[in-house]
Amino acid sequence: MNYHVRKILFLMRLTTVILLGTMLHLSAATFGQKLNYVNKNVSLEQLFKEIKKQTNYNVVWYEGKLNTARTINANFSNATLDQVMDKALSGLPLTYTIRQNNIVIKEKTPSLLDKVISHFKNTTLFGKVTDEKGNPLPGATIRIKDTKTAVLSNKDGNFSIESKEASGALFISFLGYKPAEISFSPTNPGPFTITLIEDESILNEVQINAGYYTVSDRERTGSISKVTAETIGKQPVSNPLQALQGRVPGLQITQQTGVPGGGFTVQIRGQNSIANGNDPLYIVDGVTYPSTRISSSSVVGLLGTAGANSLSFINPYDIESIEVLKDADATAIYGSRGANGVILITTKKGRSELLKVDAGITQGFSQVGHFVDLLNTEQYIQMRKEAFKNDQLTPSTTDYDVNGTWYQTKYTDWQKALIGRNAALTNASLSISKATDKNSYLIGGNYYKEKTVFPNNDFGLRRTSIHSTLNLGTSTDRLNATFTTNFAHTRMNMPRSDLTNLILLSPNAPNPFDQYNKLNWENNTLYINPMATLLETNESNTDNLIGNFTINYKLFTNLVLKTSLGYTSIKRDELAKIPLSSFPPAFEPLPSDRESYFSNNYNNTWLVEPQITYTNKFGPGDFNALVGLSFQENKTQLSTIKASGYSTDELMNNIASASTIIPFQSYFSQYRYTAVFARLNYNLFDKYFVNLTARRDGSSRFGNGKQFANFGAIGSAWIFSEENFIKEHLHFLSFGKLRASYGITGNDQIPDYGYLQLWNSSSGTYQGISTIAPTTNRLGNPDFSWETNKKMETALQLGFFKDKITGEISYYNNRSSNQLVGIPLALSTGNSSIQANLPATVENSGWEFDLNFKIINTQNWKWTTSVNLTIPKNKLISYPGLEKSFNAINYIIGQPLSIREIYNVRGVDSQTGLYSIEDKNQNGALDNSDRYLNKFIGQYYYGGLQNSIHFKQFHLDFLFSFTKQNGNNYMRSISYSPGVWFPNSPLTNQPTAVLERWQRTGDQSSVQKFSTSINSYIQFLNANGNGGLSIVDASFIRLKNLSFSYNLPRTWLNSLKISEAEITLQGQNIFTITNYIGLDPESQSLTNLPPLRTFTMGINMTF
Amino acid sequence: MKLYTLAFILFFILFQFSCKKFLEIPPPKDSLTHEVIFQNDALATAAITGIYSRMALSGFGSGTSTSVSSICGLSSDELISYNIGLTEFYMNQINPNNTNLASSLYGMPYQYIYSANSVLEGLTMSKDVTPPVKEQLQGEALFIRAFTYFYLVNLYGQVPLHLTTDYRKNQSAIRNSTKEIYQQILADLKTSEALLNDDYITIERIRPNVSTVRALLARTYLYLKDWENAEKYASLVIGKTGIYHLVNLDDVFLKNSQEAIWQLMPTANTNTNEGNLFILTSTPVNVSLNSTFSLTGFESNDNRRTEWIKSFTNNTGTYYYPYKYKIRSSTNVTEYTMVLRLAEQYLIRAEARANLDKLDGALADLASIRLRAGLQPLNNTIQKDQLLIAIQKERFTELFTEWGHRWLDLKRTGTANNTLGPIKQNWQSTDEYYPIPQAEINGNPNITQNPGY
Repeated sequence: MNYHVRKILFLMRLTTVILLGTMLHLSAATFGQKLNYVNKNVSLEQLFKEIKKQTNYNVVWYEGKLNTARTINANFSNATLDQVMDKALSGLPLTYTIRQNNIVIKEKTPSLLDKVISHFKNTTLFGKVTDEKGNPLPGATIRIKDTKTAVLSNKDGNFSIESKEASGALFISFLGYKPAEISFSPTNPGPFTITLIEDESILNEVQINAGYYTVSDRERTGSISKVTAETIGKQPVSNPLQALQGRVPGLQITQQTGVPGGGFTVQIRGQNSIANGNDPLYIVDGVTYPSTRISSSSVVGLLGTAGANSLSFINPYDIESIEVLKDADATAIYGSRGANGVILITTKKGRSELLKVDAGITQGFSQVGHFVDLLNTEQYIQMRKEAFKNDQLTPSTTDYDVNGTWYQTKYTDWQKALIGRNAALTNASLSISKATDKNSYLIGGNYYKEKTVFPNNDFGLRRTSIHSTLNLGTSTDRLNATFTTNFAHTRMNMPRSDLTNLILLSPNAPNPFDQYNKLNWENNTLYINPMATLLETNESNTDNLIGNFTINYKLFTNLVLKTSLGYTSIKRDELAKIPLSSFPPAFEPLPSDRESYFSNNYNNTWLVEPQITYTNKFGPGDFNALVGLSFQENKTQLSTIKASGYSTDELMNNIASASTIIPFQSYFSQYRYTAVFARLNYNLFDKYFVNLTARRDGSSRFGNGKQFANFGAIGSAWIFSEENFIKEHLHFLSFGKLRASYGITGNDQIPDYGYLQLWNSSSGTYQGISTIAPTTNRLGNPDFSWETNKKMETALQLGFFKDKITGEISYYNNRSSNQLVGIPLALSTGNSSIQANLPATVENSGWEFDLNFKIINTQNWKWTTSVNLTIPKNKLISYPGLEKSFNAINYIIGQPLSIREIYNVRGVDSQTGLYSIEDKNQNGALDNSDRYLNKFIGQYYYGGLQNSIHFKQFHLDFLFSFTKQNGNNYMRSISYSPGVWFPNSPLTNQPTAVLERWQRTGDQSSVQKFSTSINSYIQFLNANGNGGLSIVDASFIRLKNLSFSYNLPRTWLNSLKISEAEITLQGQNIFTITNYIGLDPESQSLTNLPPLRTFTMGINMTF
Repeated sequence: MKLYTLAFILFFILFQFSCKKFLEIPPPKDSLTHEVIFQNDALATAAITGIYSRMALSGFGSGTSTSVSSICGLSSDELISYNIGLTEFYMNQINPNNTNLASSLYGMPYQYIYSANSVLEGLTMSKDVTPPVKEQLQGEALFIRAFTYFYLVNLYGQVPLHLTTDYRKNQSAIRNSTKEIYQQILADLKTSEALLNDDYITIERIRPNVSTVRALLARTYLYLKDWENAEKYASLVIGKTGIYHLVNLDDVFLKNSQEAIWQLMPTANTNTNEGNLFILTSTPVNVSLNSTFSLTGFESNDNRRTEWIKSFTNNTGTYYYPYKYKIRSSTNVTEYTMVLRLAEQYLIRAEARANLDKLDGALADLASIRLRAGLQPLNNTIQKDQLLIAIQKERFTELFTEWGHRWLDLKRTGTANNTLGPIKQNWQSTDEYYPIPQAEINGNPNITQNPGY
């Protein structure tokens, strides 16, 4: 301890010797400069400005050594600089030296002897850092090469640094700029003017948001992918998730339906959990955002199994960047919620120094990109007649389609009629932003409207959103704060069900309207009239507010206190109506069958996270620490009231007009969550990095004594391209980094209150008194505990030829065990499931590749290409007791989770004409033990190919996404076998593929015979449902996105006071190359609307 | 340094403490915990009536298309199916994965058993429920358990017998023998008989009293061919002439009719699901009544043919339907779902007496039923075996489409094969028992499947 103090004192003395020495040497040169300045209580800062103005001398000082707010009474008339400086520094333990045009302020020297010694030891170097345009760059790091001596440039870009050696080199680095090196020697003592050149390279200094901290892409130790506003802006999408498809390795996003606001399934690095809870954690501007479905049960059929996707309430164009956190190093700081990865969404901030107004409007349309070939009327009638012939039956009185009741020549293409429209879409936005050196703000509004492809033009989604951010102070200030709000109002008016599930209506079904334009029920022989189905509507209004307030207080230069307060609220009201007119009159509906459902859904989260960050040097490297606490609460409330007994359809919007009102659905849950988390980061020579993260979590979802658990990770990186032997021998290698991480995260995506056995009043009333019943969908279990997910990753990041080619290859291996699932119980237990730990282990491993090429980079031409590829592998490692469990039919140890155990379908029996399915156990019936084969459903690999070409003002971007996968055969979503017909469910049309059917004894064919019999129906369902026919190759290549834009020449715009204007043409899901038969290889369904093809045209202007 | 460490530890302990506190959340507002329920009479009673309201709401006991009345009617020769989900029962080709089977006919009864067991366990532990209420509720819970097992054992044969809510036990249970199940049914009913009173606990007949228990005891003994006890218990019920009489055919199914021993009250502001299901106003989409039975199943003067069966005709044909319940849909509630009624007790006693060679008594009981239907008593020269056949026929015409009587009668009298074989295309003798739902076997591998599935 004492030794250190003495050494420091010694060094300080040495410094001053040089100063005095040089001052003596140079003072003569200063007599020529005179200053005139009279001002009472002038601050030193102002005074120095005045000196610069009058004499062109810079005043330079050590940051922190001089309080420039100090005031003096200036009364200088033709004073020399010496006189001025003496006055300025009088009473302070400081002195100064003048060299060329610089006045350097230093600490005063105590002894002459020290001065003499140090004169031969230290050299003071100073200068200025600027950008290419000559603007000063404050905050740049100036380091004496191969030492740990470093300083930062001040706000005028000036710096001063001491070197023990008389000659050497300065290394200057600054975020977003290429580092520079400049040598100094006694003959070249400076001062130096260093011009830094902006660095466009991807690898260097791109800042990555890692949630609780930011890290440069170069120095990160974890696996984090970033998609920026630029990429999102090129895509005409309504949900930010759509903009990520095909762009992020390891991220698999499947769109379940093309209905606006509909559901997605999102998986980062595969399926970890056997049962449910595979959603990543979403964080919007620091606040957790719900991924659970927020719509009532009355629209789930329309919007996919996941229900309304909450991210569709966020305007994609308000987003600045989306970061996807994948490995343990990146996700462990999120502890129990990080098992499935984290998606961080950051909204835009004000950047421009001038007041900037951005406005844009886009118009376009969406449509179903591909239809299935279905039987026309002639083929359909032939099928039906052949079925009767095969069965040796004749059509009965209720076989309206072929018995003469309906016209047998009438043909309607129900696909065109029901989902064939072009859905118009409009997007308009306006934002205003400005940034000064202290504060910045951005306010913006957006209006988005999307219609549907359904026949009624009133359906659609409208979203009005407001976004604002306000930054007070900058990161160099002692106190700075950020306030962000995003508000969106989304109004959806939709049919209650997806009309796509009616496209199999018999092609000769009567017109939906009669000659008077009234609903036609064809003398009560038509039971499904699609236009009547449309009368059942669902309207919803969703208000979504995300607010975040962050305040940073710099207690010391290296210790910052931060508190983040966040609030998210989603309020949704829904009105679902079943009017009397929607019922087929054949059902003899009664006025009491009119029903409307009024739902109110409320989901809010608040979050408080106080944090401390500490940065310092430690030994030869930089040390970075973060400690924080997290308190979070989420409340969800849903109630639905069923109202009936209306006198007319028109009054169904008004609950007061109903005669009977009963509670239909009521749900409430509260979730609390708390944690302490820490991160320690150590950076040695900018080459070696270690990152430790840890978190201790408590969650209210667990029973007493099981609430807390620990999670943590270690990540490390080595930039080997910084090593001399690489630099000297491998010149083509501009960047090389090896990183690895290992850690444990958890998963708490389980229902609340799983530890309690509850009773509720959903069972109705008896004798007018409310009754209660135990919840039968799950049994309470106080004993379950945390699920753990162990993640390992190694990756190599490379840049070649000055980063013209960059790439990243990662291998990951994740294992999740002690899985928390709702274990289904035998029916006879009276409960369907129990929350418990399943002793199963699932492994997800895989390779991820991401390559970027800068093919051309000239003044006029720019062409970049990037490719990403993911090869995932999923495997069930162990599952004790699987054979005896409820999952015996779903999983096999050593196989992926996404397999289906199937019957062996041996084609069509040439004698009977029915599918021949092997009865493996020969018990005369098909049962689970006959499903002895298994087939994989899922992705073998997937990825994207992105090209970006700029020529002068023209920009062309396109993305091909590709997936090699097995998927569900489209026949699996057909409910009826070819030939069958039901008067009350005439959805019996078939794809033309069934024409390959068996016709007579001895035929070898791929499709079984047409028949109306229940035997053929059951055989059809077995073969297509759980048989070998149910899984097919669903691989595809899709032109996911095409964007073309043209920047109008500035010369045109200047007279209009427009600084920039851009015309864009964009398309999404433009075409798909696939062997898959069906509506779409992604959604793999004939009953859900497939992802739509979209074209838009727009103009963006900046004023 | 030590100070820092101490401060850190202190901070950590404080954090742990405050966090633990922070994580303590109350139970959800929409629910109650088990402990709270058995702290007062009203909630404990609501736990029992919750079983009735669920029975009446849908599936198993409700009279909807997936209830015992509908499904067993389809499996026997009472009803015809027009609904793909019901056709498997009508064709006697039931897939163990059939969802109606799994939920309505197996899952739901076991939910009632779970609730009943829950109430029994809760009451045993409870010190706060007043003793008379406790006895009444225990009696009802035991009755519900026995009633539900009675149907399970008749529909499936051997089933697991659960007498506790402990899922760890129930999850790995095996199928108990039918003998064990019947023993438990009798034991539950005997205990219940001792706990319940002569009078209904409310003014309506929708919660069991002691006669309800005895009526089920009489039926159980009949099925066990214990003729003495069947006669004894039927007599105990019939003897309560102050409470029960046979009423006019049109009035039998009215709410709180004098013939009702136990009824289920439909969901608030509705009439029965049976009325809604059976009464046809258009081409049937679920079920209609077997026309052969409708046209030829009755003696010529039988008023039940005219009062209890109606038909609907349109361009697609003529369809018959049961018209025991007269209201298809109305918010003016006049009918309740009949579960146990006096006429069955007469028929039970007639059959028991005939088997005990008390032919006169049997004929007298049968006469009570026949006279109400406008028919003459049978000639007292009839032989025993002829009389037994006549009683079965009388049961069919009296109890058709009610709670699967016909299906269970065919099975217990060993006449299913002979009766159904000729008229049902795919009939096999193993069809007498429904398959155990696949979901049950998947959930508990100790459960075996019935033969033939």
